Amino acid sequence: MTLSALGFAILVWGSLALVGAIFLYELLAVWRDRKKSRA
Amino acid sequence: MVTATALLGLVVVVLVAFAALGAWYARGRIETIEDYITARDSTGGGALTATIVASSMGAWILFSPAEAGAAFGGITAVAGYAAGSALALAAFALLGPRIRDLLPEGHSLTEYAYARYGPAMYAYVLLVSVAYMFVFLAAEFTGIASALSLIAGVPGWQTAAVVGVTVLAYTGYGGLRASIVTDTVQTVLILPLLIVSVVVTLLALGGTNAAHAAIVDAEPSLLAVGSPSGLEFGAYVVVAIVGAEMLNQAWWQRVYAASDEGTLRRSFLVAAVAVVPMVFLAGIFGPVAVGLGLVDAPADASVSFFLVVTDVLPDPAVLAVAVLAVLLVVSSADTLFNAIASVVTVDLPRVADLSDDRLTAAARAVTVLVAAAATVVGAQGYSVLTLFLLADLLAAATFVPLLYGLYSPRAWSGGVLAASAAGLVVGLAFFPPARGVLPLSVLPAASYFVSFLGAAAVSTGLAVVTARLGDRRYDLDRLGRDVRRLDEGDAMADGSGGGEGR
Repeated sequence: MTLSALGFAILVWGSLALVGAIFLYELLAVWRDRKKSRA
Repeated sequence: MVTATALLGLVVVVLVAFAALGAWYARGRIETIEDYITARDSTGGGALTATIVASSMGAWILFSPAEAGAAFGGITAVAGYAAGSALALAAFALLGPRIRDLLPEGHSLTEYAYARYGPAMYAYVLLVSVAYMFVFLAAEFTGIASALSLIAGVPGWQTAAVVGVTVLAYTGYGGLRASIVTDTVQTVLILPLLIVSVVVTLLALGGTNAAHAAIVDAEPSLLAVGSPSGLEFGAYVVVAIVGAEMLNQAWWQRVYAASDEGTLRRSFLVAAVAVVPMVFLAGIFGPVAVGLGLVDAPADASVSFFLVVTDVLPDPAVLAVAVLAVLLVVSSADTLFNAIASVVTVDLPRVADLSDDRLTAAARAVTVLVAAAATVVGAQGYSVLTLFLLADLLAAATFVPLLYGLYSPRAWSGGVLAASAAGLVVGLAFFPPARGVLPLSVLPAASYFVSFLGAAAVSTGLAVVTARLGDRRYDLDRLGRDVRRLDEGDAMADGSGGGEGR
């Protein structure tokens, strides 16, 4: 089965969105680490 | 056109900034050898996830997944690469707590191998582990030298020297703690840079539909979901990556650096999720390069990512990609410098009576040696692919017998060594590069698939079977008593290693 254009787009943009979500998670987690270590 | 001077200048600025950050953070924090190589229980979830992602995602993600996508089975092969990278990290979410439970004051996998199985298995694991990590390191240096040469014609020795010296400066001084803090910042930069690089490239190509159409016109099989060649590649690359990463000391260090077991589990799992889209996004550059007609020769496949980038992106975006590549290399190189140094240092108390200060000095000296060797090898531009595959094969034949001892009190040194050796013999018999040097023409055709899966299956089966032979029982609680902190008086206990298990 060959991946359709829509499937390809979903894979690519979905991966980008996931990397973006991980980036936000990382920022939040690092900020929490710092807050905890200061407390 | 980006000039070599401009690019090298930018790279130097970035690297010096990280060297300063690492050195500044480590100042006053390295009081004992434990701080330098273990950073025990010190790292929270954010930093731990970041250091795992950064250490795992080296410059290789800009080469190997795209090569797999272009030459070894298209999008299915890329998925295999992503799965292998993720599974290796996810495995540590399960193994990590077990390692901390059994060896709460441990440091390294070789230390575990010695305590559990004795000197023979220890020597074998030391060889395989260091060989894998050094080849990984050499490949990273070779990769970045090749990337900057492709982008702006920067001579390989200049790239290797600049990266080697600056990473050494902060890793040699600050050890694991410097590596973790720089990894944290590097991850926060790598993730958006990857997003920007991919989005800008897609826009320059005319969107995902245009990229898809170009691939379909040139080689539609690269978009086949579940293609046989892609599945075959995916299967053996999963075994190769998982096996090798189980013997990567960097992960064992981070198991101990985690602030607690919950943080350890969560961070390895989040990192496992993170690497899947990262590898996939880098990997689609392979099929895209084929679609654009940029892969003329087989050797072009490995630089597909950079062929696309230099073909379609404007200079500022190319510079951003170059910075991304440098960050990827640096984040892995500092990890591997310290990982190799820690493996060697942990074993020194067994052969010499060294004070804590001298151990720290020895760890720094080993870091300098490793950095010098990696820089020299990286500057040569050798193809390290065959060495990489050989190191992966050694690991594939070793990791299950080694780790089996964490769970089975019946596993014993002779049994796991025989299992690893038999797995290696089977793997080598079907290892394609071995056919040129070994008289094995009577056997069926060589293939990486049979080689890696055969090595892993035979070593696993024999490790289980040999454990059933005889009536040996190893008290797993002994591990915690035999392996001790290095900054205590009788570090490494008496060095007696495993008794009943041998």
